[in-house]
Amino acid sequence: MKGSEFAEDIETVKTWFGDFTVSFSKSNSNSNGNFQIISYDLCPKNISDLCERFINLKPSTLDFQFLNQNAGTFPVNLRDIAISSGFVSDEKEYLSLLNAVSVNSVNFKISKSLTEDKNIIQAIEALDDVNESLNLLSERLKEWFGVYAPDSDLLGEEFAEFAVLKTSSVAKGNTESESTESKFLSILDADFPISSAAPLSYTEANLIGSFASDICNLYKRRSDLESYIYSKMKSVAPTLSSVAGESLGARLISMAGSLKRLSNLPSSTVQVMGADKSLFKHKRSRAPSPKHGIIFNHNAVGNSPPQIRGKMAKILSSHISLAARIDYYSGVFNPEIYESMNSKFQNVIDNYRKEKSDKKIR
Amino acid sequence: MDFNKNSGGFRQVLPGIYSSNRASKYSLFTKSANPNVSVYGENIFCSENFEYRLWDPKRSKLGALLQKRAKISFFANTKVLYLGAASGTTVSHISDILADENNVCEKTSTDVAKNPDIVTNPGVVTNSDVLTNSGVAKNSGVVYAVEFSERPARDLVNLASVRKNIIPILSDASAPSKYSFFVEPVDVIFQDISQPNQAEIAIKNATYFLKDGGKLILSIKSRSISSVENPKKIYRQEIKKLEAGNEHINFVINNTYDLAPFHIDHMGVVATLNKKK
Ligand SMILES: C[S@@+](CC[C@H](N)C(=O)[O-])C[C@H]1O[C@@H](n2cnc3c(N)ncnc32)[C@H](O)[C@@H]1O
Repeated sequence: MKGSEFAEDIETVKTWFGDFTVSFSKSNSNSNGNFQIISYDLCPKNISDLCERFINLKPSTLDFQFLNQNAGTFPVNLRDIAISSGFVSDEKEYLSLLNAVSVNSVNFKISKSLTEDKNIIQAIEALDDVNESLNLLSERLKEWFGVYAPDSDLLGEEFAEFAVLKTSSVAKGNTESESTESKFLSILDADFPISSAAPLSYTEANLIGSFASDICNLYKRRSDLESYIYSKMKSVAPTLSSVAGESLGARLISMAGSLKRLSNLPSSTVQVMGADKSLFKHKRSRAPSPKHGIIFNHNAVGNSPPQIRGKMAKILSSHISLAARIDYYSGVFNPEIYESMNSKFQNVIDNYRKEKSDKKIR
Repeated sequence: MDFNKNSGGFRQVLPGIYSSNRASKYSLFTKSANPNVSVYGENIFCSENFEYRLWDPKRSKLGALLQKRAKISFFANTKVLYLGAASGTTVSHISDILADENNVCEKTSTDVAKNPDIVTNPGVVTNSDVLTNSGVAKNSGVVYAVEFSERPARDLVNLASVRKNIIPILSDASAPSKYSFFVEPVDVIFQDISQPNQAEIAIKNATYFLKDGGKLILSIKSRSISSVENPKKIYRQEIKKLEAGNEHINFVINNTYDLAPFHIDHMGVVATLNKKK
C-alpha cells in the first residue's frame, strides 16, 4: 500500500540520448525512495542529431544525479539506462558514441568562438574603413553638389539622399523628353526658395546622382555593420558589452587581436590602449603618463570632470579586463561586473561632489 | 596474477603502471594506447611490440603522488571524473591505464600486498586507497575530462579524438549541472584546479557524481587560496571543509602527501566519500 509518507512526483529527465519520464517519491524517512521510468523518447542515433541535442540542451534542475541524491540510491546510471532502453547495445558502443559527440561539440564550441571574435574584428575594421571613405566621399559630394544646392544645410547621409532625389528629377526629365532644352533644368522648387543655385545639366545630374547613391548605399552598409557588431558582441562578449558598450568593446578586441588576448592583458594596458601617441611622449620626455586611451570614448570617462577622469578610467579598465576574462573563459553573461563598476563610479562621483561642496563652504 | 609479469624490462607495479630499469630507477610508465605519439614531449620506450610512455612527475600531480608512494589504482573499468584537465598531460596516462589489456577489473589488494616484490616498488596497493569497483566489463573505464579554458581544451579534444576513453568537457567545474546530463556516477574524482574555492568545487561534484565509498584525489595549491597565509594552515582549512562536506555527503581523509620536490606548495589528498544518511 502506498502510504501518505511518500509524495509521488512525475517529471521528465533529459539526458544526452533522450528524454525520460520518471515517477519518483521523495522519502522523508531514511529509507530509499521509489523511482521508475514510465516512458522515454530516444534521440535518433546519429552523430549530427546527437550533437545538436548535446549543444542545445539547457542544464536542468532535474537529472538522474539529483534523483540519486534526493530520492535515495538507485541502481541506475546513465550508461545502464542507455543500454536497458535499447539506445545502445553495450558499454563499448555507449562510450564510443559519447566520445564522438563530446569531441564534436567541444570542437564546435571552440571553432565557433574562434571565428566569431575574428568576425567582430573584421567587421569593426570594415566599419572604420567605411567611415573613412564616407567622410571623404561626403565631403566631395558636399563640395560638388553644393554648387547646385548652396542653401542646403543638410549633412552626411541626408545630404546624399537629397542629392539623389534632386538629380534624379533632372536625369528623368531628360530621358522622358530627350529634348536638348531640358538639358539645362533648374532644380529650383519649393525646397529652394533662394535662387543662387547654378543650373544642373543632365550629364552632371547623372554623374552626381550615381555618386550620391553610392554614398547612400555606403551609409546603409555602415548601419548593417553596426547592427552586426552589436548583436555579435552581445553573443560573444556579453559581459564586456555591458561594461564597455558594444562598440568600444569590439574596438578593444580588435586592438588586442582577439578576445583571448584582451582577457590576458593587464588592466593597466587596457587603460592606455590606443593612447600610443601620448604614451611615446611620456616615454620620450617627462610628460605625464597617459591616463586613458581609447576608453576615453566611454561616457563615464570622457564626460567626467577632468579631476576624476583618471580614477574613472582605472575603474573602467579593470572591469573591462574582468569582463573579457569572464566572457572568454565562461562565455556566460555576468551582470555583477557591470553593477560593481557602476557602484564604484558612483562612489568616485559622490566623493568628488562632496569635496567640491566642502571647498565652496570654506 | 598479471602483476609480476616481466615484459621486456617493464614490470607492472600497480594496475596499468609500470616500472623499469630502462630509465631512472624510480621512473614510472604507462603502456601507450596510441603508439608513436608523444603527448607532451615525454620519452617513449619500446619493448616487445609495446610502447611505454615515461610519466613525468614534474608535469603531473598524479605522477608526483605515485612517486610519493600514494596507493592509487585505476582498473580497466574505473570511471574517472577529472577536473582541471588542461591539455591532457595526466589524462593521457589515465587513458593508457584504463585501456591497458593487462590491467584488471577487480580489487587485487591482498594479492599484491602478499607479493614482496611489489612492496619494494613505489605505490603499495592496500585497501585504503584502492578504488572501488562494481562492474567487471573490460575497457569500460572512462575519464570525463573537464577544462574551462579554450586553449588547453583544444589539445585535450585532439587527444580525445584518438583516445576513445576520454570524454572532453569544455565547462566550468563549479557548475556540474552543465554536464550532468551526460556524466555518469564515477569511482574517483581527480581534481587539479587552482581555484580559491577548490574544496567547494570538489564537494559539489562529488555530490553529483561520486559513488558512495568512491575516492577523491585532490591537489591543493596553497598559494591559490591565499598568498600570505601559512600553507599548513591553508591545508588544514581545506581538509576541514572536505570533512564537513554538505548536507548530502562528506569525506573521510585517507592520506595526505606533500608533493615537493616535484610541485612546491602543493599537497595531494586522498579521501573517501561518505553519503550522509
Ligand atoms: C594546474 S592545471 C591542470 C594540469 C593537469 N591536471 C595535468 O596534470 O595535466 C589547472 C587547470 O585547471 C583549469 N581550471 C581552473 N579552474 C577551473 C574551473 N573552475 N573549471 C574547469 N577548469 C578549471 C585551468 O584552466 C587549468 O588548465
